[in-house]
Amino acid sequence: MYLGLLCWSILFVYGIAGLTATVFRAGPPGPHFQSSEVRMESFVPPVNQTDKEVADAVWRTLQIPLTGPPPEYAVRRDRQNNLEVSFWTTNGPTTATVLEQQNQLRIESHRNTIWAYFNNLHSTTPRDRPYDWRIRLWAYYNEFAIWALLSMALSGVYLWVSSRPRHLLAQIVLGLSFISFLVLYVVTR
Amino acid sequence: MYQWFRNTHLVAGLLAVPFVLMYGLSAVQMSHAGWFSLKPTVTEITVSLGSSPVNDGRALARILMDQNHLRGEIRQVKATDSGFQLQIDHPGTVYRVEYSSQTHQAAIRTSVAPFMGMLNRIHHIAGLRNASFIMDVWGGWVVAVSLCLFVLGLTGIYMWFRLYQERVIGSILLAVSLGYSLTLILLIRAA
Repeated sequence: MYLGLLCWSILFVYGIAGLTATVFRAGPPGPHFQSSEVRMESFVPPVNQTDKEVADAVWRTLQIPLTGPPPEYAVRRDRQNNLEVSFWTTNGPTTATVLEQQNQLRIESHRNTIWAYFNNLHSTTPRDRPYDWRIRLWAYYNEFAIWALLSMALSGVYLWVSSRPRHLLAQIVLGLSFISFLVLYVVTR
Repeated sequence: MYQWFRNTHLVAGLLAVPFVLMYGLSAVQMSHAGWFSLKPTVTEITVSLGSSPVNDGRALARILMDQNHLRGEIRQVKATDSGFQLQIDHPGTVYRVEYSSQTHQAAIRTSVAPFMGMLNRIHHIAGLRNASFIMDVWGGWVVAVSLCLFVLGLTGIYMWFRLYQERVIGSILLAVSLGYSLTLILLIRAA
């Protein structure tokens, strides 16, 4: 019960994430963004630097909330050989293209819908080593909730078995869900 | 009334329990990738495809699917000097096919994920309009389990509130939890 109270809100985040994943997969691609924007900004790339170092300079210039220095895999060259840097946040992705000859940055940013936002929240864990303190605190909470959910599932079964194991509907439902899971697992495998 | 909420809580919990365990275990695996070995089991076979060459990757995939050598969704088709390469994914299984238009043979390399890898892949199944009926059934369970989480949350809070001796400590825990999580949800969204 105490775990349930501590994780009450995140239960709903997980529930929303499940329904969001269902709706996004069911419909046409692309409804994840609430709004999109393209803008230009002055940027003089530092000389004698690697692409990664220039990408770090882009990050320092733009100061996109919730982001950290871009990892290597987020730095690449596009078909016109312009340096492209991707920044990903729970609120949506931003791509900055360095137009070196014009001393400009082309910034394309998208804002996720609230549903995609919840979907991203549910998958934010400390594994990603979040740079921003807000994301880091959320990641710790999510990690706690994952373990709490496992504990609640097991303790819930224990409480049922120890209090009213002869509850017929409960027996039928548990049998149905376990058999469904096993059959689906075997058939999928 | 209390009994009705208690029974609903019990039924929703038991309906969701195997799936919640799967989601929880796979979430632990994703959060702590180093704790588990995801080394797949790899097998290789070579299939002869008759005398006439196959000129299209999708057609090749179709032939191999019809012959029951593989199943799943085509993720990659790439032309090579000797023919083409395909990658076909099925939850927990990746097929890499190398087709030679000279020999008319397809070399199929099948990588099957271990148990935790399989759970990881199942965790990502969603939607009700997938390529196969089985995936749609998984997708249906995603909806059911999501709704069960709402039901568990709502019935759980009611049952806690009815336990008078637990109200003080419970209120403190709930206030701390809501204060922490809702503040972060708002702060992150507003950033």
